[in-house]
Amino acid sequence: MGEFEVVLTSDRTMISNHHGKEFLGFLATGPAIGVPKKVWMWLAAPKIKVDSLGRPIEAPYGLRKIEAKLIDSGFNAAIIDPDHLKKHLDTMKVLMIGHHDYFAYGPPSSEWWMITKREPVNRESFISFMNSPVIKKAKEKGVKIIAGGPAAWQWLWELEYWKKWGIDSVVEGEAERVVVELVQQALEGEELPDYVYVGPHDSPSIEEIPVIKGASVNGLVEIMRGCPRGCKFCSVTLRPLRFMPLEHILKEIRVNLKSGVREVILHSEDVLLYGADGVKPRAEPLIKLHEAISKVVPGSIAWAHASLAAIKYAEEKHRIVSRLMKEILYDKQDYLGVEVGIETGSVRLSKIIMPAKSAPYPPEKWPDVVEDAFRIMHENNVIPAATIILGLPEEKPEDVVETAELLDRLRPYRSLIVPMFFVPMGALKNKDWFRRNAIKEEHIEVMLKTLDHSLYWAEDIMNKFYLKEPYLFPVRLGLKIFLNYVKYKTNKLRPKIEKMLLEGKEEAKATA
Amino acid sequence: MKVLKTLENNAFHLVLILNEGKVPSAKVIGEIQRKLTSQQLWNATIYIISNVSTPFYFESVRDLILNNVRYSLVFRYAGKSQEDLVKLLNQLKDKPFEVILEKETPTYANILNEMGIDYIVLKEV
Repeated sequence: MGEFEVVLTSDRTMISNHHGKEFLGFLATGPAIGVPKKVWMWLAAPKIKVDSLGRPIEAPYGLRKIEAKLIDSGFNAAIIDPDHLKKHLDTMKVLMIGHHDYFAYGPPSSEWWMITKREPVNRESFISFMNSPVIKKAKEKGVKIIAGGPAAWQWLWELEYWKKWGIDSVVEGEAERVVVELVQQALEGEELPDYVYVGPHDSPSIEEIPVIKGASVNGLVEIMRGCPRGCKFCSVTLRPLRFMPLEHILKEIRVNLKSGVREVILHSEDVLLYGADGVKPRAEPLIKLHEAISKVVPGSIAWAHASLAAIKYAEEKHRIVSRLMKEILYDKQDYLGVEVGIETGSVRLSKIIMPAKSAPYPPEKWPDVVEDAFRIMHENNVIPAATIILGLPEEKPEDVVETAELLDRLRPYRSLIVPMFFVPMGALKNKDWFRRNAIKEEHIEVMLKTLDHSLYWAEDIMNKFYLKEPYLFPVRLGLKIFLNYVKYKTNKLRPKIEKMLLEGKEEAKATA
Repeated sequence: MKVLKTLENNAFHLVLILNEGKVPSAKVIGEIQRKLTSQQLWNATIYIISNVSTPFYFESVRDLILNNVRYSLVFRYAGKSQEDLVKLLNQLKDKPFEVILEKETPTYANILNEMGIDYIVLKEV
C-alpha cells in the first residue's frame, strides 16, 4: 500500500494549517484554557487534507526543504501525515521527524507552562505521537529515526525519551549539506552519529538550497537566511546572510499556488532587510519583491518577522511601508501581520544584549525606535505580534520598570504584545525552572500590562480585521469564548495580584 | 564506520574519555578552538569513550554543544572498554586527533602511554 522508503513527519500541532491562520497555531504552545483539550487542539491544529498516500496538502516549510533535497538526490521520500504513517510501514526504512518545539522548551510554550503549571498541548501531542503503536512498530521493523529541526537541541534534555523511542541521530542546524549523506548511510544500515551540529561555516549556499516540491503551511516561503544584528539571545545571527533570488521565491510560490494555497508568508528574520545595504532597507528590492509576488498571488501577503529599526528606517527614509501597503497591497488585503521583537524597554540592557538591534539608530534611541515603528505600523494597518523578554541575564528591576513605561507609550497602537521568559538552559536540568519564585513582582506588573494591552487590541483586531471569512465563524466563536474567559479570569484575579504587588512593594521599602 | 564526508573528512578528531560528572565545557571548547584555529579547520568529530552509553552521556557534554556556536560538531559513541579505545585509536592513526581524559584513570592512561599517544587530563584524581 505504501511506497516511500524515507518518510518525514511530525505530530498534529505541526502538520496542520491552523485554519489558514498562522497565528492560531500559537494556541498549541499553551495548555487548553477555558475549553476542553479536544476543542483547543481543533482551534490550534485541525487535521489537514491528505492525498491517497497520506501526504498532507500543506506541510511545515523546514520538512518541505528536507523532502526536496532528498527527492532531488533521487530518494523515494515524502512527508506523511501522522495519522497515515501505518500505510508506509512495509516500505519505510528511515523516519525523519522535525519540530519547532518538541518538548515545549521554546518560547512561548515555556512561558505558558511556567505560568499555568500545565504542560502545553504541543508537548503532549508530540509525546503521545511518539508513544503511538505505529512508531513502536516502525522501530521493531528496524526503521532508523532521525530527529531534526529548530528544536533539535531539546533532545539533549530529554535523554530518557531519546532512549525509549530509539532515536538514532539528532541533527541541529541547516541540514542541506549533510542530510543526503546521513539518509544514505541510514538506508545502508550504517551506524549513524548520535548528534550532528551543523555550524555556520557549513551553512548551505543559495545554490544548495532546493525549491520545495509540495505546498508549505499557509504559503510560507523563505526570502533570506541569517541576520546581521548579532543579538546575544539569538543563534540565527551567527549564520551567513543570504538573499534568495526572486525567481527562486516565485518558483516556491507557484508550487503553493498549484496546491491551492493562495496566501504567502514571507519568511526572514527581518523581511525589510531583503536586499538591504547592511541594516539599511532599500526600496528597490522590497518594492520589486512585493510587486512580483502580488502579481501572481490572489490572496494576502504576510511577513514572518521584521525588526522595528528597519520599519522606522524604511518608512522615514524611503516611505517603503506606506508604499507597500497603500500602493501595492491595498487591493488584496486590509492588514498585514508580522512578528516583531521589542525584548526590552531598557536602554542599558539593550546595549548589553542587542547593541545592533536599533541600528542604524543608536541603542540610546531604542525606546523611541520602538514607538516610532509601532506608530508607523498602526498608521499603515500593519499588525505586529510583539515579544518582550523578561528575566534576561543582567536584568535589574529598573530595566523592567523601563519596559513597563515603554508599554504605556505603546498603548495607542494596534498590536499584540507577548511576554516571554529568558530561560537559561542550565536551569532546565532540574526541571524546576517553572517555579513561581523565578517571577519577580515587577515581572508580574509587566505581564499584566501586556495582557491588558493585548486583550484590548485583540478585540479590535477581531472586529475589524481577523477571521472575517464566513467559514471561519466557528473558529471566531471559539476564540471569542477564549478571550472572554481570559478577561473574566484576569478580572477575578486582578485584585489579588494587585494586593500582592502592593504588599511586595511595601515590604521592599521596609527592607530598604 | 562510515563518516559524514561533508563534516568529518576535513575535521579535527577528539577522543573524549568520560568517567562521570560534567565536562568543563569551556576547557574542552577552548581546546577544540585552539586546535581548529591552528589547523584552520571548522569541524570536529568527538568520539566518546564512557561507561555511560548513548544517549545518556550527553548529560555530561551537552553544555559543550550549547556553548559552541562556531564549529560543526559530530558526536559518536565509541564504546567503554580498553579494546574499544584501542580500536578507535587505530582507526584514527592517520588523522589529526587528540585525547582528553575527563580525569586521570590508569586503565585508559596506560593504553595511551603504551601506544605513545599524548593526552590531556581535565581533572587530576
